[in-house]
Amino acid sequence: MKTTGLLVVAMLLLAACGGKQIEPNYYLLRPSAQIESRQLSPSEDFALGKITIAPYLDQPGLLLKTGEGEIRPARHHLWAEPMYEGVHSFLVKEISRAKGEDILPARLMRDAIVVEVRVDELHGTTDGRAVLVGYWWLRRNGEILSAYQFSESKSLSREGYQALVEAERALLEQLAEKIAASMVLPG
Amino acid sequence: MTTQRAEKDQGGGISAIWIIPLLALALGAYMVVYTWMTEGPEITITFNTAEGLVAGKTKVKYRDVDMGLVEEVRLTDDLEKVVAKVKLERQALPMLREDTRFWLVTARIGMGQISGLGTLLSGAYIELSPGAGAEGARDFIALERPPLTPTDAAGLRVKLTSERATSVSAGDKVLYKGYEVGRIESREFDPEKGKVNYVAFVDAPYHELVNSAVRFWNTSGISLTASAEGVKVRTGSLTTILAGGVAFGVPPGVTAGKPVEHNTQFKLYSDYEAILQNPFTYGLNYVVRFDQSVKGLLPGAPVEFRGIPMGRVERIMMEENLQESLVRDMQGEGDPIPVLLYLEPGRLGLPDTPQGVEYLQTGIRTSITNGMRATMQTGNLLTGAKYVGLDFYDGLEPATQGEHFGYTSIPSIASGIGQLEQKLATVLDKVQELPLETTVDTANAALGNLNQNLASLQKILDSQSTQELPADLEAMLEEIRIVVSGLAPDSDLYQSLNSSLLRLNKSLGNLEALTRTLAAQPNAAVMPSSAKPDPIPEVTQ
Repeated sequence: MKTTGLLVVAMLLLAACGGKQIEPNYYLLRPSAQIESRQLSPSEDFALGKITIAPYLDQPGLLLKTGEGEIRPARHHLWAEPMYEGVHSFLVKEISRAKGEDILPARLMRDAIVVEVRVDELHGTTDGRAVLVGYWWLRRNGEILSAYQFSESKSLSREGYQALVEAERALLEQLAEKIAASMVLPG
Repeated sequence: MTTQRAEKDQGGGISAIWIIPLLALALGAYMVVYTWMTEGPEITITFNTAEGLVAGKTKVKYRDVDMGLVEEVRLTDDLEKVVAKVKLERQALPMLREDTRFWLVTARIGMGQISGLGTLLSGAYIELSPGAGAEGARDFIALERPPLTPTDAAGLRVKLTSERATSVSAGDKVLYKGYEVGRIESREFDPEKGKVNYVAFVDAPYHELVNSAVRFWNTSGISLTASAEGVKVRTGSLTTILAGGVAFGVPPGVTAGKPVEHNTQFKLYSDYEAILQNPFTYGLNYVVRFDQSVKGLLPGAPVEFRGIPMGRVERIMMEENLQESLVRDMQGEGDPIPVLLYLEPGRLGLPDTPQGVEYLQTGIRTSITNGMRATMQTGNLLTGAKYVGLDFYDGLEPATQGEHFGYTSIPSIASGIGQLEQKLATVLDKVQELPLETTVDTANAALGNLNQNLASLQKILDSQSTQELPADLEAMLEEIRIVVSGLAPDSDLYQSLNSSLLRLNKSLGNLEALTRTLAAQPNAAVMPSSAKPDPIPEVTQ
């Protein structure tokens, strides 16, 4: 009799614990342009070297700057792959597209000019903007040929994390175009 | 007839007859005075023998002028000598001084000269050589042989001392670079000091060549030296070879000294080589006590400072050591053996003066404080001849100079062959103590086991499975190569691993989020989450 009473109380408590389940949203960082089936035309002069991202970017949630020096990762709006993989894949495709020739990894191109990129900031802000700060440099056989800095922001077209992803993608496209424009053979 | 009457002369004058005796008296007085005024002095000269002396016949001459005559020859009261009473001319009176010399001139034949031939016909006579001392002397002792140098001759008289009698004798020449500049005047043996003393006279102006730095050596005979450079023969003139002689000069490398006075003492070296070996005048003695065998360490052995000769071993002071042991009644306790050294500052480039000796004393005292010690070194392995070496050594206990038998001491350490002998003896003792027989038995047993093991190993190596081992290894390496190639970035395994790592990374991210949630709300696992919803990025116009 006594045992039966305790089981009833436990069942009531467990029923009280149940709540509404929130499904997270996953976002993928890929170029917006359609990718065609074609034969690749590797660049003989340029290659893509190491791409690094700031450590705070290496987390699953999208990032929103809520105050000065304050970043808040989203709990329910997550990247579908590690941030590094997304940035790397995005830049390879976009630089190749902007340059007009396919840029291969540096380990495959021995004497090519190597482009190395570091993304320092990539997040949204509470005032409706996406921010991208990055650096890149051209190197050949350990010698730095030239170095550049990129710092741009873009307003969101609408509210929500989807718009934030689109804005960040647009900023990465601008960065890829700038990088491609800087990839010229030294005179 | 006329008678004459004698009358007394009342005039009273002296008879003229008295003139004669008065005249004779005056003449006599004159003769006495004259004789007293013109008579020469009467002297006595003592001779060893009366050979050649004849009373009333033997004359005394000065520069071949007769100055007197021997009036009487008689023996002394003790019958040991002969005294000649000589009546000299008054002219000789000023010559009679305390250092006036007389000698008998007879015919003499020597190695260097023949003299007095004239006396063969005229007979011997006594030669007088006036002195310069106080007047009034009347008794003289005759020289045995004629003086070689006049008393008033210009020059320098020096004294030479030799440890032993040499072929040098009175009358021998004194040479300077082969040129005769003087002579040996006398030679005497000093029984008290056991040394032979010579008096040498160097004529002016050559006496200016004699200074405090010159050395005198015996040039008699022939010096024959055989060395690695050949045979050297060093001689003086033929006369000096036969009759003996003394040469002097400044040794090579020695600067001229100061002028010397009459009767300055010099050492007469046995030959020129002896001077080359001991060219310095000033030095000082030290004593070193060796606590090891001194066999082979002979008097005259060199004392070297880092290979530079700076002196010699004088002698081993066994006599003093024995006396000390007797006094302390400590015989048989193995006291260190004292060795007397003679060190010369000139050999180290220091001035060959008393000041140089002081420099050397100060230098040795300071060096001992800084670790300088005396050691006995072997100079010749064949003959076993040893010498004393001075050098600096590290890691020594502090030592100071002591005093032994009146000489300052230099501390010593065992070194060289002696040290090697001690070390060798220690090693041999240790070798002797080793359990060689047991070790050899054990080694034999170990070798037997090793032999068996090698035979077993040979069997293993000869087996078929071992022979096939290289082929198996090669196959294994090929498989490893295939496996490694499967891990390349473009391999299936790499892709699979990469995919797994991505999933793992994602899971870790979720786990991190869960951890954060539980940290913020510990009951989040069973209770509804109270976390705030994600802030939504807004659009600002």
